[in-house]
Amino acid sequence: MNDKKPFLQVKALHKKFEKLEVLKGVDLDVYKGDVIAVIGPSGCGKSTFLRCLNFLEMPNAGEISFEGKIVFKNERVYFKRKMKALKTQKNYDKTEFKALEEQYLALKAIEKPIQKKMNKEIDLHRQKVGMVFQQFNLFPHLTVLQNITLAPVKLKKMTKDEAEKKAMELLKKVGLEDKASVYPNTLSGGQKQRIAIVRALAMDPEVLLFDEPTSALDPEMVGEVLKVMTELAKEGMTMIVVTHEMGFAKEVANRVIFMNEGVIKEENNPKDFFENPQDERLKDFLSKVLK
Amino acid sequence: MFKDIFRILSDVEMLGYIFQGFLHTLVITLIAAAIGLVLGFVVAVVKIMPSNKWTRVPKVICEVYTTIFRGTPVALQLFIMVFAVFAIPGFKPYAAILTFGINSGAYVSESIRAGITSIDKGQMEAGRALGMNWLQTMVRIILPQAVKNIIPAIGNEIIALLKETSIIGWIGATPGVVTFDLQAAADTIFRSYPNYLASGIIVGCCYLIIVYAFTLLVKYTEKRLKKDER
Repeated sequence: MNDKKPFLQVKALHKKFEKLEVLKGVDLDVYKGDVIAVIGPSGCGKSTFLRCLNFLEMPNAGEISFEGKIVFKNERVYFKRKMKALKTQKNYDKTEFKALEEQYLALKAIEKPIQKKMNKEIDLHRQKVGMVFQQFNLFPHLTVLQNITLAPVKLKKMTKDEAEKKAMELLKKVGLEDKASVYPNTLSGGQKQRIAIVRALAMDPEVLLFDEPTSALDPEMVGEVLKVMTELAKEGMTMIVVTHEMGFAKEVANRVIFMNEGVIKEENNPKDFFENPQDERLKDFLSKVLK
Repeated sequence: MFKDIFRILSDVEMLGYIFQGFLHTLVITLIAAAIGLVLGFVVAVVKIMPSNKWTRVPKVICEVYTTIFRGTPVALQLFIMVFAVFAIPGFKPYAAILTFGINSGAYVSESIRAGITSIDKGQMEAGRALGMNWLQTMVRIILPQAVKNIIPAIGNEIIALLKETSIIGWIGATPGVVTFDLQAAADTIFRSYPNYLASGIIVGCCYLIIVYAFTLLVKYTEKRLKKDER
């Protein structure tokens, strides 16, 4: 695996909400075909991390490259902070400040164009990075078929006929082709989530992000959604899944990540991850969730 | 009293006043409501746009606008606009209608904003996550859902506006001018038939008819929208 180049690369990703630092430097290389399960206690930043990958949350610092291109880079913020900290001292070293400022400006010259380009192409980026939400977020005023075809047609990825044909194929795959013309509020949670997965797939994404896709479901409906996800994984879809389903992490994922306190504490293949955890907090976490 | 009502209703001149008042009240309300809707929609959209360096100034302007026009009496606004800001001869009635429109816009913008923000923010996120931009998501996902919440609130707004327009006569109303509305008609009738209860009941019924017809229209629209959703 490692001889290939990672197609999604995250370096030292930081995210702050007001004063609360949620991500404190996350590094991750994702290769084509990876199925990565992200687990961790609630509030550890796993959802925020996922949302940073398609910029639903804007990271504060770090670097993200996608398909070999840097799409997000912000390191100048560190220099800015150092400059601020220095300025608060009474008799600060002017030359040191000058040096920091020079580095800051040099970085800004590199990073600003990347940021500008990303602001323009953020929607294109999101078309390649699909997302499935915990609360499904289907559009209640549109039929299932319209839910699926709206974005591909609107964004001129396909004609209406192509999109509908593709939607029907995908619906058939998840066993819901008879639901094409109904409205989402007539569906069960499991059906809604399967439709949401189809909606994301209709855009032909390069990678799919799952934000706790089964957490809002009745226990008896979890299986049908996991089955769809397992099939996707088998077909070679690259997936990053934030989940509490240890079974899925064990059986389907090829890499499992434990996040805590805003950083990745442990990463391993599922077998070693569950049988031989190293991190103390992870041992504690696993003993609680696996019983 | 009933005798007076009957006498007023059988006086052709008085009937003419009532008819004129009815028509002018409707015209004033409809034009002001149209101004209010357009203005309110624009202001609401500006208010909910994501903040960045381009939207910051318009956002402040909209905030100031709603604060001032919702925070001061409409009669005061009417006098300032008609006798100070637009003190152009012959422009008085239009300035008055404009004032009602601008005043209504401030309230309507809040109704629309509330209707839009009542939509779960997951809807915007889902639209954006699919790669649609803010405007596309707003138009295709958020607004169609928000309309159902907005229509009843705007209906209320227009009913309130209709009744507020009754002060338009304060800037001067003579028969034949747009400012001669139902309230002005009541005042004029009073001069020939000095029984305010009689003229008041007649004009009050006219207001009621308009408001009730409008209420039915709003209810019908609401029902239609609900049916679309199933």
